Amino acid sequence: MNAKIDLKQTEKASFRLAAYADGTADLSLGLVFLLLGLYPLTRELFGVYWNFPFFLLVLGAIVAAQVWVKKRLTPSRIGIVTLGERFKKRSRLALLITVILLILTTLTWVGAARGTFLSLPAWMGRYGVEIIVSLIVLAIFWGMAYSLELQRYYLYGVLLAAGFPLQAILPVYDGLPWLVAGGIITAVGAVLMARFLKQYPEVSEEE
Amino acid sequence: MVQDRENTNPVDELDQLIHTPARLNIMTQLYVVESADYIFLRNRTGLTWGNLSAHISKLAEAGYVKVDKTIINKKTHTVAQMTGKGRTAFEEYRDKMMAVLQPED
Repeated sequence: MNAKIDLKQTEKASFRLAAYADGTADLSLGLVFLLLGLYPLTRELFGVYWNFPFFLLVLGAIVAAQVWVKKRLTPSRIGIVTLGERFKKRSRLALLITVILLILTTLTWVGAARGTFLSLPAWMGRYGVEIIVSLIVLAIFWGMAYSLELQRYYLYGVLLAAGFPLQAILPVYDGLPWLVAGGIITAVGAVLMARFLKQYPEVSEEE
Repeated sequence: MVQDRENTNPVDELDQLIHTPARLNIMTQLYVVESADYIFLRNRTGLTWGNLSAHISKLAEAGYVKVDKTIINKKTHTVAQMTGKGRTAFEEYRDKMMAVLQPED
């Protein structure tokens, strides 16, 4: 019997089972980026004023679907766990850091679009803002991949980070990088969910 | 015969209730979370329902685990939670086990 019971690994494994095994996180992430990829098209279709409410409506539907799966589908297959206070504190800190980084990303992007962004050094070239935003997005996803040992999040980080400079460089449809990234992530999420449904059938406690 | 205390086997000092592989597995899973239901524990430990229930009952009898049974949508839902006594016992077990396998020179 090995006395070196790796409690950190056990804790992470419990969290991964509870939060990521069903594929909903990946599906939601992929669908959001697919939606972003379609944004330029829907803007043409609905016009500038109606496009944003439509975007919010679909985003709300994605979130609602994820919540429904988490409440109705998942618990009867993998059970319910309440994580320890120590893990919750670390998760809250990680979430706070992620939110700050996302706000920085948004401000950088919006600031650049409005021309109010601070001038960048010449060596960064025309795509300095895209590079900065890409690095922030990469840091977020690779941080998650490393801390939670979710190898696929390294790939997601690369796909999503590459989207910013590619969007600026490629002389094609604006949303194409997001469609590709979102499509791949959604496909991975769908496979994870299919595997989850097969691997964890519905169970109930036997008397 | 008087037992020679200097020759006491340290393995004998381990908490035998926790020392069983299945119960050690259950205690490990419960130590790192606040609470978990039987379905989650079954998935994490790989034990059968009967084994899981029996081992948790033993741990509950010793006061290491608290069990809360409810009925949700006409289905039994049992949640297990390690008690303070259980956490202390598990930490002592871990420390003694490390001493057994990594004795001081």
